[in-house]
Amino acid sequence: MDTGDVIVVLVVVAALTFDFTNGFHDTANAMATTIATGALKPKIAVGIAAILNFAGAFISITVAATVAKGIVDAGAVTPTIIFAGLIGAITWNLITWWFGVPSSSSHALIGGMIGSAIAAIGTSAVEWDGVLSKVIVPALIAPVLAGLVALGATVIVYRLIRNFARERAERGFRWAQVASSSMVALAHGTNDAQKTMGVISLALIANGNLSSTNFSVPDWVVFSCAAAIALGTYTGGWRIIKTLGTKVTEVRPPQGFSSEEVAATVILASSHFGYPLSTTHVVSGAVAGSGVGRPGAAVDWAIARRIVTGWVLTLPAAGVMAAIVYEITDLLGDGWVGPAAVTIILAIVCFFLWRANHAAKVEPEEIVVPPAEQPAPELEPVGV
Amino acid sequence: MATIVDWGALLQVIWISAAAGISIALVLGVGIVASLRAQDHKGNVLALNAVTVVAVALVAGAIAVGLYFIAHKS
Repeated sequence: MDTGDVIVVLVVVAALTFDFTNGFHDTANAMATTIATGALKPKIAVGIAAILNFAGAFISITVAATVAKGIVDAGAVTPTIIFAGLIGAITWNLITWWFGVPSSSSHALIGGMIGSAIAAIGTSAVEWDGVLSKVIVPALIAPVLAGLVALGATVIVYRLIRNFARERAERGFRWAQVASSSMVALAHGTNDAQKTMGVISLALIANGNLSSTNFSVPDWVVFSCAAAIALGTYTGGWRIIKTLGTKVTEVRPPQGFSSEEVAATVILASSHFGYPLSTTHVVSGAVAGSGVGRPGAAVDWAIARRIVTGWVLTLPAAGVMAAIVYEITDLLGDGWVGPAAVTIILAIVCFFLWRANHAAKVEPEEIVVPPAEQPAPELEPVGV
Repeated sequence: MATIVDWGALLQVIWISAAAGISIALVLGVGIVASLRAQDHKGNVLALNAVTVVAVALVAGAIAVGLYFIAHKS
């Protein structure tokens, strides 16, 4: 095993760690509203999301191909550059998770890759056309589109059920909410697990293990990425679920259904055309839009502003962190010592973060709406 | 920028998302309202139940289309 192979192994470890953080960071996208409305028990919700993320990862490799080829010059990057990009993305994911901000894991990954590529090679290594057309423009449009459509859908639903008692009318929507959330989880698996597959494939291409002209993702890459994102999803990022499910707006089942089904349609329509779209942006936009659309509901715009600030900062912040990581590895020479040292430092940081989280844990039960707001007693949660 | 961004594809994403998102909410909402009316109604509720069944079938069809989209990305 030569130096290049050792670095590729470290890249794979970092990529799977990123995939794991992507899973627990984005559990909220599919299940925050479902958990908040009590349509599903928290552990059942994250279990369903984990299974669907795992299944979704096997369906298509279109997005993997986009990440591998469309963001940075696959012929110019080295495994060390990819490693630094991943560490930058992981670091930003952990920071935003700690503060409960539903930022985009996809943008963290892309920002990290861009930052490390610029630090190592310069701006010529970045496929700016691909970044603009496949990342920035869809990311600007998607949350606004999801928010407006969710607003319209929520207004329609509440006008239809306005003459019925709330508890009765909500029952059917709780079942529908489970279906729409499941679609989001499946779509998330097809999009986000594939981004990590794309990054690992890029490292294998850079190290000469894969052909750059005839792109394909090895089976072991597909399976390991699917397993990592599913495991991360099952762990449940309760801090972010709490923000999205309870802090942006109080979510009721018809509203939760509207936001999730709209999010699912936007994500599926976008991914159909090969855009690596952020499910976080779409779901957050849809939840806020549905909050505006439900009579009597209020959106906490201070929380919304905090989320949008996180979105704006994600690409540059992950990029800067990745650039710093690349400079550190570069200081330690061209070999595997730099990436190995960074991996050890990251492992130590993760250990202390895990201990700190244990001391200030967000419990799943904190996320479900207060008893006074829960549906009538005869409406048992689905899946109990 | 006009040549870099595939505006045609993005417009398709926008109209498909808007049409499907609003339609699914409308169809399921009508189905649930028909079901509630059927529960309250004392007479023949065949038509109301039929509306509910058709609505649920249409939403199931939308889910099938979504699964097709997932499996056949361009």
